[in-house]
Amino acid sequence: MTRTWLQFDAPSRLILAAIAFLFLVGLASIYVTDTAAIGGHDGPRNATRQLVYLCVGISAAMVVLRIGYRDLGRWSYAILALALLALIPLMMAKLTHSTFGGLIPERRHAYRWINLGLIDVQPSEFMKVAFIVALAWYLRFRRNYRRFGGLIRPLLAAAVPLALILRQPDLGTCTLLLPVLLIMLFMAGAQIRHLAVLVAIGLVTLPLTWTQMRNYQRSRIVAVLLQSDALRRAIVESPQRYSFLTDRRSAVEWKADSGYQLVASKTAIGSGGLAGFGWGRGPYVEHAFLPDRHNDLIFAVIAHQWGLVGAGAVLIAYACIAVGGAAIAARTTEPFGRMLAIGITSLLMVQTIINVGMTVGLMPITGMNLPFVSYGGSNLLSNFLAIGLLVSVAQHRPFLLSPKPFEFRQRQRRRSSVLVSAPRSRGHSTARAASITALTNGSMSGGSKRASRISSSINSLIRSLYRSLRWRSTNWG
Amino acid sequence: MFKLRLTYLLGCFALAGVAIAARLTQLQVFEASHYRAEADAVIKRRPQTLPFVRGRILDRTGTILAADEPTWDVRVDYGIIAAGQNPDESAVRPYLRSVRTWPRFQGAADDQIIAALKSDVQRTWRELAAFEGVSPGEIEQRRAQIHARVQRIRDIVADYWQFDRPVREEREAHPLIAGLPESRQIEARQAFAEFSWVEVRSSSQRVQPGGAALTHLLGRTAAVDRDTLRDDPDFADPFARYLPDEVHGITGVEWLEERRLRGRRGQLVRDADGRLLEAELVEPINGDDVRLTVRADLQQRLFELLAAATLEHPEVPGGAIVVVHVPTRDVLAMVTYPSYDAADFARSYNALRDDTGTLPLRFRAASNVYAPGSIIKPLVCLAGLNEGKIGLDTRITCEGYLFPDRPDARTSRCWESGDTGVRHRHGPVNVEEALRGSCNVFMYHLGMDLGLESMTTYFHLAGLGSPTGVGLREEATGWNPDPYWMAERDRAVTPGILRLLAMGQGDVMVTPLQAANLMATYAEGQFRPLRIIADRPIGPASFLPATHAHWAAIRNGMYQVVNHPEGTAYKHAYWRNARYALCGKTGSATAPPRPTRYRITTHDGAGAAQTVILPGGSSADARQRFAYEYGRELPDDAVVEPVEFWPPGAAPTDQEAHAWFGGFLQPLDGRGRPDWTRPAPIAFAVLLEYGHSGGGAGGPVGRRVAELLIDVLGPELDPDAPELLARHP
Repeated sequence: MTRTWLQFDAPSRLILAAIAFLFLVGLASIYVTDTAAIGGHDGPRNATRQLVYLCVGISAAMVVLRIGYRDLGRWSYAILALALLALIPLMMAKLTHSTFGGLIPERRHAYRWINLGLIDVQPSEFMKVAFIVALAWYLRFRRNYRRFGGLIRPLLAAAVPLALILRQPDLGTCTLLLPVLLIMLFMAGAQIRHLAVLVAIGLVTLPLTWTQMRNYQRSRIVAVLLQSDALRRAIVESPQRYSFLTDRRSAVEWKADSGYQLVASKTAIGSGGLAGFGWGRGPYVEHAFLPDRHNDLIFAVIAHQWGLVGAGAVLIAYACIAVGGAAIAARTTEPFGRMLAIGITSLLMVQTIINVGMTVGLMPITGMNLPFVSYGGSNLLSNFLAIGLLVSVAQHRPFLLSPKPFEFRQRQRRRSSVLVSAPRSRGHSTARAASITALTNGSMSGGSKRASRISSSINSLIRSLYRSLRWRSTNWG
Repeated sequence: MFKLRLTYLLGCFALAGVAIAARLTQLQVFEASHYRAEADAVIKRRPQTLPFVRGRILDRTGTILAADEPTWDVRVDYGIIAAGQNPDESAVRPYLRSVRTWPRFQGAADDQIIAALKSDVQRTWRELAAFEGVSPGEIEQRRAQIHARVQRIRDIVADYWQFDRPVREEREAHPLIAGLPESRQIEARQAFAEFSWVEVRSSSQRVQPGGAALTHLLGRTAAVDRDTLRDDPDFADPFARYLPDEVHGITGVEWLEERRLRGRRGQLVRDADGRLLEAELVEPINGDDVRLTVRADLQQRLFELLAAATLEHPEVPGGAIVVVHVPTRDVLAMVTYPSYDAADFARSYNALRDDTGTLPLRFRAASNVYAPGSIIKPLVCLAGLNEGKIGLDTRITCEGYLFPDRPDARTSRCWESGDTGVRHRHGPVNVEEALRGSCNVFMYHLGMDLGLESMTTYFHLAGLGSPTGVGLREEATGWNPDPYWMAERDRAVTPGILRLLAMGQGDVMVTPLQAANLMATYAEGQFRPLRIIADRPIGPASFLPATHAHWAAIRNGMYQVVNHPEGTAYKHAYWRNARYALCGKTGSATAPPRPTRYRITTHDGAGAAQTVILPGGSSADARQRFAYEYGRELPDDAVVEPVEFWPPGAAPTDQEAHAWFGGFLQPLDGRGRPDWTRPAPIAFAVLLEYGHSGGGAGGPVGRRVAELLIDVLGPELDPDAPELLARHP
């Protein structure tokens, strides 16, 4: 144990600073969509709520930090079971088309929320985090996913929540979980050719998936393609040839119909220009043309207000989270923590890429939040839980003497030499200290008290050195 | 390997980031101006058109003859109209959001609100019926009509685009109750306030307070047609160009002065929050008022007079009276009888159309042509005098027949009194006496002497065969059979034709307007075009080649027609007061009976004959009617023959006659003799269709017109006399 639970290392600080920036940008945008538009007579209702959610989220993250990710990891299967259990009533509601007396409200023909009086909870949001924790826990010491057969079990485990979420229906969460699953398997060391086979199977079954989709889901995907004037014209001219895609009418009515959100968000972004209209200014802020502008399409509002500069700053903030998360994953030696850090970072990144991608018209529009920016209690809470876990991983780095997990040789011929590999890290003082420790000690007794003591003393020495260096550097500056 | 894969992963994220950044750059830098314009456009609501008020039509004293009256429509959203009596959930769901905040629905679940809205829709139809006081079936019928019409539009559009798509009409509200007066507006708003799919919207209606007397002259407005939209002179001006749901004048003055009566629309643009964008406000410009030369009171009195005269003579289907102010050629009255009330036009159209006996839709004063008969004789005499064919003292002996010794003498006889068969011998007559007695034999000789060219030249100089200048689209030009005209039709110029023309028969045809102007020409000694719009310039005068002595002889003859015991109108039309005497000329224009109904016999494939009898004024008219009634063209081998004629009971070979009386009010000197140094201020023409005798039928009407003119225009016969305005407010 090298730090108290509220001391953060550099990657964590980077991440927390990026989150603070993103949250503020999001809050400012939620605030203006509350007040600037014609419907904003209730005052900054959503912004106030978002602040409350922030408090709840920070508290939850602190609880997670206090408990520590490893203790939570032991309960990971139970947590996953709990999250799955919460999905079941939603499934029942969907199957019976009943709202259970308003407990599970139907919105936009979907059953995603449980009404808890003051707030609505979206269980699938917590499902995402629970799924990652459980998957990391499952993958932590295993090696069987290096074989193709070994991939079956995690995939089957993922299929259950995916099926439940798909039934709600919530295509967005599914499109989020699948890449995260693949990334985690990839990072855990699964053979690339196995993963490629999986992806190929997915691609081959794509036509089947296409026919199984609902009309509105299809039309959202087609809407992205229909941005092309040439394609729309081609459909109008020869509708038979493109009948598998869409009919002639949706091509003509695209702008007002299936493409409405897309056109609105693109117009909002594009009209922002280089510097934007400024905070609380611009037609798309002052008027409520943009649907879901305080949650799903909030990136458009940001780009509208602050232009390319603001949008770029937001993207850079997310890049900071990605780098920070990767650093945390790289610096921890504990397999569960490493997997968890990878899972959480990729969860946030995939979510961001899909959300921004759909807002700028590169991907179909699905119900996807922009992490830490969009309005929404469940999402914000689950994201803070995830960040709590990530920072917790950064805090707990006890296995200084342990080998780096998941360090397989590229071509694994000789099984005997698998687990021993030379640490190659040489970037940071702490990591270097760890490797020095490992070298001097020459053993892998991860739990030994002696090793722990030695490492902690070396660590504190290096830290004090580091602090004095930083102090000087600031003086010089 | 982990770190390598981590690098790969970060690389993938970076790639996605680069793609997004590139897209952002594309949208926000390269296409920024396009999206800026799009955003500017989207901020505005669809501009709201501000309608203009169509100009009024006033008479010369300022009385309103036609005006747009504000009315109110009760309109219902098309979604509800389409849903009908038993709306389903989808019809009322769009209203859910707006009514949820209503106190009535506070705290209610969506299902409850929707159920309430559904029953509200059903109640709407009943309330509409109750509000207008019609049966619910009537409202249902209107609803079904609107529904059918919009579906038809949709079909047409789908046909055009080759696929089905919603049309604009489906997003609009359509009037279930139209033309509510201003006084019921508040009531309507209150009655339908609880239905958010009903709106009470302002509209306007063209009203003609004057009633039937002016209907033909004022004309009608109707929805613009395709040709008008295509040939719109204001097409370049988005606020002036015609919109498909606008009206334009199609007949009468409404057509004639369309350009002035029509205004320019305005536009009001609001942003998405309903704030007015001042910079884009375009004020509507109302149409200009148009002032006619007509006196509404005179028109009304004359209309009543003509109606009474028509009733006196059962064989007369109708007639026309045109009164002209001589110095300006202002048309002071232009009466056609029978007429109809514009307000009832749509409702009574079928009956009006099928009344082929009295033809109430015909604008007789301007669009019907009749042989002028004897009222043309003064003009022929003037030509004869001026061409030197006769002198003022030239006497021609009338033996009753032109060729008393020939066996077919009766074909060129002088006129008979009534049907007595007694020939009228005028003896040796000069010009004045010939006009006084309307001697045909005198005219026969004169006509043959003058020849076609000089006679028709004078006709032309007096405006026959040309438009009078009023500009109405209904106006007929009449016929003036000059040599070109005859050559075009391969007519040989025979002495018989010359004899007919000299007494106003044959191929010369005039409208009552032209006849009245002819009278004014007689009175003033010069021709001018007529004028019906007060602010148009007075037409240029053109002199007929005649000396004062010639004019005096003509006028004196016309004076004697009424004021000499031997005059043809003395018995019927003698009228004078201390200041004016009526001068005039009677005319009986022979005409064949007019067909009113046709029998149409068609043969089907088996050779069996089928016969229908349809109303129609001509065989072409009857064929058209057949096509309209039965939805198919009449085959060429069908037999179309007239079976009924006007006058009722007449045989097609009968000789009927229209009765003319034309005249002017000649000022008298102190001794009660006409003062030819002062021109007559007012001239007029009366036509009674199938009135038989110009003297017997037309004369009394002429006298009553003279009395009425004095009564309405005052002793000075000044159409603008201010004291008269006080007398006839």
